[in-house]
Amino acid sequence: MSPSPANVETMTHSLLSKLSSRSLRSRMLMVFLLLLALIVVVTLVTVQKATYQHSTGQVRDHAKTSAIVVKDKIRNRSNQLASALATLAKDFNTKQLIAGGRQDQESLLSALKNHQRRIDADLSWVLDENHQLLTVTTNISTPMPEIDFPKKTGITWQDIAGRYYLLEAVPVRFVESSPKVNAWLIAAVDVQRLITQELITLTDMQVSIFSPAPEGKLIASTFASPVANVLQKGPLTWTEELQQIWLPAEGQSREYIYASADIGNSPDGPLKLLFATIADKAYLSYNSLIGQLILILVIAALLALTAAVIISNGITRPLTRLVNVTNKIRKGQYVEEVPKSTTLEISSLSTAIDEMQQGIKQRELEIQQMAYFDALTGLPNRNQFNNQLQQALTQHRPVVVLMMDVDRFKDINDTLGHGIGDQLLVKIASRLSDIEVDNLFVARLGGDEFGLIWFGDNSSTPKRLASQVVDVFKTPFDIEQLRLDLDLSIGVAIYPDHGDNPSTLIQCADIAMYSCKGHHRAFAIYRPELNKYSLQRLSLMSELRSALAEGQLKLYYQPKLMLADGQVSGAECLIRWIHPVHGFIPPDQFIPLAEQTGAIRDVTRWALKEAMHQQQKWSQAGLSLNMAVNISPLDLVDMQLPDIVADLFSQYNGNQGGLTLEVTESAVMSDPDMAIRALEKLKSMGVILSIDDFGTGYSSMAQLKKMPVHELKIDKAFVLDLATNSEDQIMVNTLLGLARHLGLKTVAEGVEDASSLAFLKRAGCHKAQGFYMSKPLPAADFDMWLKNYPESSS
Amino acid sequence: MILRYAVFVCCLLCLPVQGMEVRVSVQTDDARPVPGAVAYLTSEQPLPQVNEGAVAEMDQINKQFSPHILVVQKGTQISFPNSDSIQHHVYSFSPAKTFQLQLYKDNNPDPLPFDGTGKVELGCNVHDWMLGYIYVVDTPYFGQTDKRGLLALNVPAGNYKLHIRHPRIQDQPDKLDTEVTVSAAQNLVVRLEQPLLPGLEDFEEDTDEFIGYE
Repeated sequence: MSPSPANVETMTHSLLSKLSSRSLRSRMLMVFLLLLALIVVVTLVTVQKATYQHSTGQVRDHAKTSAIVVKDKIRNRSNQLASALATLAKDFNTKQLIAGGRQDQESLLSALKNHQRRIDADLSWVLDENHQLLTVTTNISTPMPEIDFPKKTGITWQDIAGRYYLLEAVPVRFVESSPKVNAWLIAAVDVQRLITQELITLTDMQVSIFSPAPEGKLIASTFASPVANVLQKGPLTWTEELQQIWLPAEGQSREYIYASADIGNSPDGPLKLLFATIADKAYLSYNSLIGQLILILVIAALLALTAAVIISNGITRPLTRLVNVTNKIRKGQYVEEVPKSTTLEISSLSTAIDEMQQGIKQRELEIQQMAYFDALTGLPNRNQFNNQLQQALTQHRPVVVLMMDVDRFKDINDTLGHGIGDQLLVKIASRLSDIEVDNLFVARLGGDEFGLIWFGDNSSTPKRLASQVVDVFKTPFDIEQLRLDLDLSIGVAIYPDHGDNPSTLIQCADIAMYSCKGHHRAFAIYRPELNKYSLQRLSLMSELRSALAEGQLKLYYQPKLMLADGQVSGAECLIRWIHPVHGFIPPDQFIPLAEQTGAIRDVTRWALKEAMHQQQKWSQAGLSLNMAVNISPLDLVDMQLPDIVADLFSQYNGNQGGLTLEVTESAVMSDPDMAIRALEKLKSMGVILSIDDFGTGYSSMAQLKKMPVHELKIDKAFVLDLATNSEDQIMVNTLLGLARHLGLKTVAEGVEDASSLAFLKRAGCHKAQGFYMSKPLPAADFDMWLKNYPESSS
Repeated sequence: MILRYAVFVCCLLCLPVQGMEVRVSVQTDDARPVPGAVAYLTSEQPLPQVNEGAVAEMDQINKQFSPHILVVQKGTQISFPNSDSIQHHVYSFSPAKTFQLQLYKDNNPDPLPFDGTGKVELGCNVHDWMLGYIYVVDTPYFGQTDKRGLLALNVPAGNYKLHIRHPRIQDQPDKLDTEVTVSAAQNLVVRLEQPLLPGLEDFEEDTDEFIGYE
């Protein structure tokens, strides 16, 4: 199969669409991937955010807990100091020493130092009831700070000589239940000793303590001193919320996060605890969680992608198979089995494609039937006839081509209806098919035209074959109680004698067939001379209109004789075409053409006008002649004709001398209602109406009765041999009787001898025309003839 | 009981000399009576000394000092008997009299002379709640207010200084001192400026109970 332009276009289109649009599979995968990416991103972001917040919260909580732990530890130390002091204060000996403190300070100091060592304090002193210093375990010269003892609660810090101490004081009452305080025992622990490495193990954070804001000086830290120095420089934000700071660690700068908390009270405000930890360590669980999450999502994405590929393959693979199948179907290669699928949708698509293929097959057969066979008769049609002929020419020699049509089949259709016509065609086909000749191919070419091909062998000759065909139609056809006798025209052409290709042969056969018409021959074998007419026919079609304008058409007049008195009452106007090249062209060659092309109306109009013009001329010359003009059935089917006639009447002083219109039976029968209306109108205008060729058609007597006609014109077929043929005489008598009974005038045409004329006169026919009186003559010759008439007839 | 001793001492000292009655009323800052407050009059003039061998008693009953507050003239000897069945360790670190009586029970220690004036705060080294006071005054004219915060003292005419003392009084002792010229019976009202210290009711109630019973 060579690629037709349409196919190339389809291929290009599909290629383009492949480039511009993605496949279903990649589109599905794309959507899947996008969705997956979205889920992964959303999950990651959400989890990341949540876990970060959680981790941050945990770190903050850790810092808070650490603050609580450290505070608790310091408070415990403070309580421990207090309870140790309280025990000391209740000791009788202590009371005794204090009571005697003024006198024996040395003993008191010694005992105090001893006790200070026991409770692991760094500094202690005793105040008397008036808060005057009794003794102190240090020799620093600074005065001991004023302490508002009654208000002291919780952790208390005191700055003594530039160092911060945790302070505890208990009152001493010489008599325990006395409301009076007799002395104060005070112990202090250096803050630096409270911030120990132990706190790191307790809190898992680095702990530092700073002097009250705004000074915020670093007092002690679990950090090594280089780090502590950096930390000291800050800048630091004193808040419970997490803060970042970069501190040196293991030779590099590391991000730390820290939070701070107040602890205790001093005259300057609370001290600041600061808890710091390496950020990475704080977010360790968070970082590993995110890492695991990403790993899980990547694995999930890979699994989902694999699943998507499998699913999309499950959809697209059967689709691709179906596409291959449909492509095959498109190329006309039908497949035995359309691939099935377990998927419901694909399966129904597959079923649909299968059904479509069946449908296409079925329709292809029907189309083939329609393309190569005639629906009515079941015979091969023109296409197959042509193919068959083509084929035959390559394989056989000689080949005989017969073209056949039924004469006047149109009349049968018109008068008996298409139903009868169709039945007739079927019967004709049947008879043709039944012809017992080997290698005979019969086809209906259209209408009433049949074609036969015979692959010539020695069993017959073309002539004999044609006769065989003609014989088939000798028997009349019986259709719905009608008996029809058919005349055939058969043209025969022989390969290779008359042509070497189908079209030439068919043309030759056609020409031969047309040559039969009008010659009353059943068949003719092609002869080159016949070709002359066929070529004329073609050019005449186009030349007729210009012939009208250029005056190539002439009216010839054949006189009509009143049989009663022998007077010339009028003339039948007959059209003649004198072609400048072809010469005389008979009307039966171009009138049917004019009817086919519709030019007949112009021809009729021209003929009417010409006739009336001539009538006027004769009228002026003192001759009153009735003019008879033939009109075509086509002139009757529209209502223009009465108007045209009326128009001409007004142009040529009315209907002087009279106008007769001759109409064939079949013209009236094809559309009786319309025709009768037109005729009624013409009749009312004084036009005489005559039925032409009466007796040859298939007139219905009932219709005839209704028709508004004046006269019947007996066909020349009955008149030509009237003198010798008794059957014709009976027929003419019958027809004349019929006309008489219907009150119609009669005209006989084709009178060629005196005895016929005498017979007609005897039989009571009104008028006669024919070669015996005169052939049709040009107007001038008619004048001449008329001058001589009385002499020649006498 | 305090009253009994006061009356006893008063009668003992005042009978030979006919004196004038000085009635003292001690009131709190919000005008309530202060019962048990120690009141005494001192003078520039020579006042009668305490008799040789005068002995007062500060007992220990039910793990309390009894009386809670004891007022004696300077030079009086005070014995510290132990009416309980357990040992006590009575001591004082007060400057007026510093002493201790090591743990004792049945064998009553000898009475101790109280020659210095002032407040002596008593405690027991083994019973922290035990608290007692001895006011040593250099005058025979002293006493303690009754439930209504009243005290009547009979003194000869002359110039005196009235002193009001009590462990719960927070006012500076000097500020409560009042110069009094006794020429006839007279009423003196001492109003505290500061509220009393809370607590110590235990001792007073005990005291009152005992008074009631005897």
